Amino acid sequence: MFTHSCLHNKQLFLLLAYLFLFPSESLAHKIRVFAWVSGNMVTVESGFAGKRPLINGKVTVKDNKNGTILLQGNSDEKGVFTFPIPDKARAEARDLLIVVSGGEGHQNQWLIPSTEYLPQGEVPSPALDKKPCLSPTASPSSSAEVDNAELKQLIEEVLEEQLAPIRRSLAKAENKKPTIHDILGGIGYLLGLAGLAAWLKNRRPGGQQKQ
Amino acid sequence: MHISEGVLTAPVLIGGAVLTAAGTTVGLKKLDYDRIMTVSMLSATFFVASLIHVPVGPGSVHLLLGGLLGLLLGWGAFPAIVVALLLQAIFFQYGGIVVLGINGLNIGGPAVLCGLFLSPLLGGSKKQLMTAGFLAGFCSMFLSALLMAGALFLSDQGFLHAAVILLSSHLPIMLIEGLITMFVVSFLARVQPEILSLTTRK
Repeated sequence: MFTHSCLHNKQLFLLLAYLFLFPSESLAHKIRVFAWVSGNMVTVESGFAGKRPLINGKVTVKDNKNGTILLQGNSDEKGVFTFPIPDKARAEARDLLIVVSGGEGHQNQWLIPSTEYLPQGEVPSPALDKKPCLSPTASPSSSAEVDNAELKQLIEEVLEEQLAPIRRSLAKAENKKPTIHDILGGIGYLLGLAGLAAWLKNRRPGGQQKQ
Repeated sequence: MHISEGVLTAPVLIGGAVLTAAGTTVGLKKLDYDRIMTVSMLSATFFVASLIHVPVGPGSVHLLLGGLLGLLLGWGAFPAIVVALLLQAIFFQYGGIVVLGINGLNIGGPAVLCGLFLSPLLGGSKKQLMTAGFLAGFCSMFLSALLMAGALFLSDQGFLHAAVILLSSHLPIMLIEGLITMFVVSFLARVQPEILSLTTRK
């Protein structure tokens, strides 16, 4: 009987050791969402806290003002879902509310304000004026406009490349795992509550119970 | 096992909150002076247990240990679980304040139920004790998954689909919970048997 329980203890120890030493990378039960605009596209990255992506998660894009569903889709095996900004939202300058649901009652959301995808106050004219000054071989205005469009796209592409790591680190910063402070804080609260309860129960209406 | 905010409809949330408030009140009423520290320690255990994850398929599931709390605390498991859930919502953003009621019911309800039904077995033979431990761990998780599917169904999220996914994905963790609860209970029976008699003693 004794050896039997010893064996059990060993198994339990191994199981617990396994659980503690190889925790899965994901902390399920909290979905993280991170979305950004590049050009006319919005990219939504979703996953569980930690690194594991949310595969085939249901992404719903809503108009934040009245909650109408603009479009729906599923995230791919990297947890990414990309969609073009709906013309309707663009025309009415609506904020996009992106809700990602992982089933099993887990979901989270991300808001993209219209200011993030609408050009700020439509100011193409200064750029047009400056362009000929920058290039000495100034061409007729029509080709300058074409150049401008091309240039704009080029800049966007380069910016996208440059910004990608920053986006990633931002997403990482959003993705907070419980820290040791959180855990110890919680345990401290619970012990404190026990103390409080003990004190309340120990109070006698007649005065002190012990000196 | 924690339902996020914004998934459930108001009636489900309110219903859950009312039942959880009732359960917590009963738990606090039945809580006597000697058990305060035990409740708090087990609450802390529950609080931390959800950080232990077991990978299952594409996702992962975590321990709850509701069955253990139910066995050791009886009705006292309700306030212990609700307070721990509140702290998890604040510190880890698991679940949330609005869904605290329904999550408390989903996890605390089965825990108390299993505890009330199975704790009489704790005073029996070693075999009975271990059976009680395993069943408490297994059944509390099973019922929690079922209740969760029910809550999702009432909010039109599709019961059968959710129930199948929830139950199948939680099956491994149900077994693990059962085993862990069994080991903990048999360990306590050897080292600190007076803890086990707390629920049965009246």
